Amino acid sequence: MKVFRDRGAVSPSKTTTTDTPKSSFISDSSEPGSTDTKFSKPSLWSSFFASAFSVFDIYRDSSSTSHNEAPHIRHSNGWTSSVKKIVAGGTMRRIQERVLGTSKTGISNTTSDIWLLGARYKISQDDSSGNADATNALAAFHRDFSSRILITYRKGFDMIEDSKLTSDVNWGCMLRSSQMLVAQALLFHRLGRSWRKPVDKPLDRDYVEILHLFGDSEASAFSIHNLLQAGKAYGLAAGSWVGPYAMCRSWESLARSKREETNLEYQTLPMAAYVVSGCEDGERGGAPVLSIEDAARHCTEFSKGREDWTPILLLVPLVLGLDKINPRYIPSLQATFTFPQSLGILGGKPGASTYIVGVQDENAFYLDPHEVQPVNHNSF
Amino acid sequence: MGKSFKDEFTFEQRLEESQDIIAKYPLRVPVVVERYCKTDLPEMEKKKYLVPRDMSVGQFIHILSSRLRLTPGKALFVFVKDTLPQTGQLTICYHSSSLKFCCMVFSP
Repeated sequence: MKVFRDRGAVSPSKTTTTDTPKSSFISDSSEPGSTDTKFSKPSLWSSFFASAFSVFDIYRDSSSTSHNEAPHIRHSNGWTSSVKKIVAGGTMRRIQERVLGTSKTGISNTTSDIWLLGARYKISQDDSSGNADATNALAAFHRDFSSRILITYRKGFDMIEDSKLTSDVNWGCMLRSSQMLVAQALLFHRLGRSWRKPVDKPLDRDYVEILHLFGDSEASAFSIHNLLQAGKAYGLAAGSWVGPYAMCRSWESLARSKREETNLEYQTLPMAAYVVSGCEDGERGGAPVLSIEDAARHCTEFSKGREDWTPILLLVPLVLGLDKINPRYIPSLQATFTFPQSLGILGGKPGASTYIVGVQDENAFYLDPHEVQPVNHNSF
Repeated sequence: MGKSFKDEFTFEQRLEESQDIIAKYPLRVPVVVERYCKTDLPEMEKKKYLVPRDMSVGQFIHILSSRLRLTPGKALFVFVKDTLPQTGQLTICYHSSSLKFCCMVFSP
């Protein structure tokens, strides 16, 4: 079971959407260096569901379900077990607890549909229609959820420049959450929303290439090292927390510098990045306004005017309340998960950022970066 | 940080002050701006402003942020009654109807 550090009270949260041509579905989860996360036995699903249901039903059971599924993994490498933990244990929290603060009203048997990054899973059922459909939907949801890329705290990577740090434990959760979000944007763009991580086939080349971008060294384009470098102007520094605004701007800046290094044919981030937050030296600070002109300008700049059509990544940094989130925003936040372009929300509250990928009623599904793993040096 | 404006003065005191101000400057909107206590934003020199009635919230925030000498990369969020205001609207739209002050709060 995950432990959350609830240090502060504000709620920086950030939503992002990418507008890609392919709007279908997405899939499997894995991290840089986790090629062999494979579920090899059919029995997995049943045990999986048992635990998944227990999460749905009674939240307090989650701690007991986290550690007992190792036999189903072919090669246990730390990553896999953390996937399981997430699935079985801490993934589902009440949005209120995550965002608004703790509240102890127990989760009742919930049968509402799940929205996961724009995909709907109909697990609602009435007694007559039987459980089969709901079970299938849950299985489909599960495959989709576990096809997402999880990126977490790491220890033992190359020193980050001037700092002597070789780990991002306790400070890198926002960076990690943002990496997950961008990784999802790339998955969506290159493989489509309906792609699922293959269970018994080799991994797609595109998928492996995406993972490589997020390795923990300067050689990987979107590593924590390079993000910190790109975000210096926005106050990013190894060892300190960062807010959603600075995070978005850092990605914008990293994407720009990578674009200048490469040619149009092969772009590390094959989409324009637009931070919806007013202009830096003009009007800002209020509710975000998406300007179509600005979006079009970003696209034209990205494609150097040579393409009629350009994918775009929208990042919307927001603080939605002072001491806690203003509840009036919750329905809008939930609604973003029904957009086919949804890339979810990264953030949470000060000191604890996660990558929220789905909602069900007032509950949220998220990937938690607060799991420490050793750096993986395997190449694959 | 000192007490917030609302803590420092009662509703009646605030109402009286705003009525005086509006009587004196009918074409202006009295606005109280405060820094959220848990931020690293610089403290503001003044917290009471008289804003022209035809000035938008965005323009007003822009002026404030240049007074704060914020670097371009610095995040800034403004709240009116715990809500992010529409920058395109006039400041006067956010006037509290019972109290003729518009209270804004800055956050990082």
